Amino acid sequence: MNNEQRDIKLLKRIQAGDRLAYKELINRHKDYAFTVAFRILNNREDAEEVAQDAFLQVFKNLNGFNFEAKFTTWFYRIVFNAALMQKRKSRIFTEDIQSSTQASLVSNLSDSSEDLRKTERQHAIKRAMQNLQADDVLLITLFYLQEQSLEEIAEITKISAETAKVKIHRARKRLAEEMKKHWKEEVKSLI
Amino acid sequence: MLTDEQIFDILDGQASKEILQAHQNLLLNSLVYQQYFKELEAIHLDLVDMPLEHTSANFTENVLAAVVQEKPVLVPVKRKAWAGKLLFVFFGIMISLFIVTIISLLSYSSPVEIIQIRPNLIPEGFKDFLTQDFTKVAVLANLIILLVLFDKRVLRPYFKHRRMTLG
Repeated sequence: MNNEQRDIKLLKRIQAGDRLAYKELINRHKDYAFTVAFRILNNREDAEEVAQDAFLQVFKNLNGFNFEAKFTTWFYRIVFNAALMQKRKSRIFTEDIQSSTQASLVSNLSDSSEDLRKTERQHAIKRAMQNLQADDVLLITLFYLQEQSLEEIAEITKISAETAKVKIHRARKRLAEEMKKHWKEEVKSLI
Repeated sequence: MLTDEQIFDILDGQASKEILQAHQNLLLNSLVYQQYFKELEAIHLDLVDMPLEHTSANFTENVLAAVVQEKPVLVPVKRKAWAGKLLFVFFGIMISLFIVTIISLLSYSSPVEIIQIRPNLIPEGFKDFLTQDFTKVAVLANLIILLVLFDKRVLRPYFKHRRMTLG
């Protein structure tokens, strides 16, 4: 049984009132939902709230789900919409990442310089992502999580596969430009 | 020089042989291309390496707790057409019963007279049955009917609702 079939089986059990199936569904998808929300919001608390809200919406709207469709396509759309709403509500992105960067740098003092450089680059990427549009962040995140095909990503974002591909290319290009800016500023601050 | 789309196709492993060939040539002959490719490659590799984020330890429990607290969706029951007339029906029956009772009281005569006029035609054994056994059977039957109604109207809907809300 593949992942898709397993999800559908779990959803049918949830519909029949099986609480354990709901728990299993949450455990299967929580990290992916959280990652998508976190990359868009860049705040752990908000992202966790969004992911929780998405799971509650799944539970409440299960009767509206088309069981012929793929669960994750429907689910990531819910996560994305919830994250967008949260982002509109609170426009606080930078503080969390700055504090987490410092915390992580402090906690990784024992790591090698290579690890530190990698961690620093990843934080820079997360920061750069905040300058992209939310749907671009979603496209890049889903593309690199490698859980969805390009066609499925396109369905989640309600665009064609070809457009999704072009948008992913452009978003990466913009990310590269943002990173370039970031390193230039870093160099300036060092001088 | 290759386009950004072509470079990303190379990084995604989706480039054609011709593009790969052109890419190899550019890597060998163009420093500008080499630098630009490395920039995009670095971003690509950083994104590949981005770890999956993890929720807090009690995430699942929080969601399950929130589901229990969720108020059930109340579906408004459509009122039946005859439901509005029930009150009139009830008062109609009550008035009829009241009239019948009044008429019965007016036409009431003492039991002594009845005994004198009509001899008791009910056999003795059947009379005992009516007064003792029949009462017991009737009470038992009523009890069973009440229990069945209670199960159908109260218990079953309650447990069905509990199951639906994953309680």
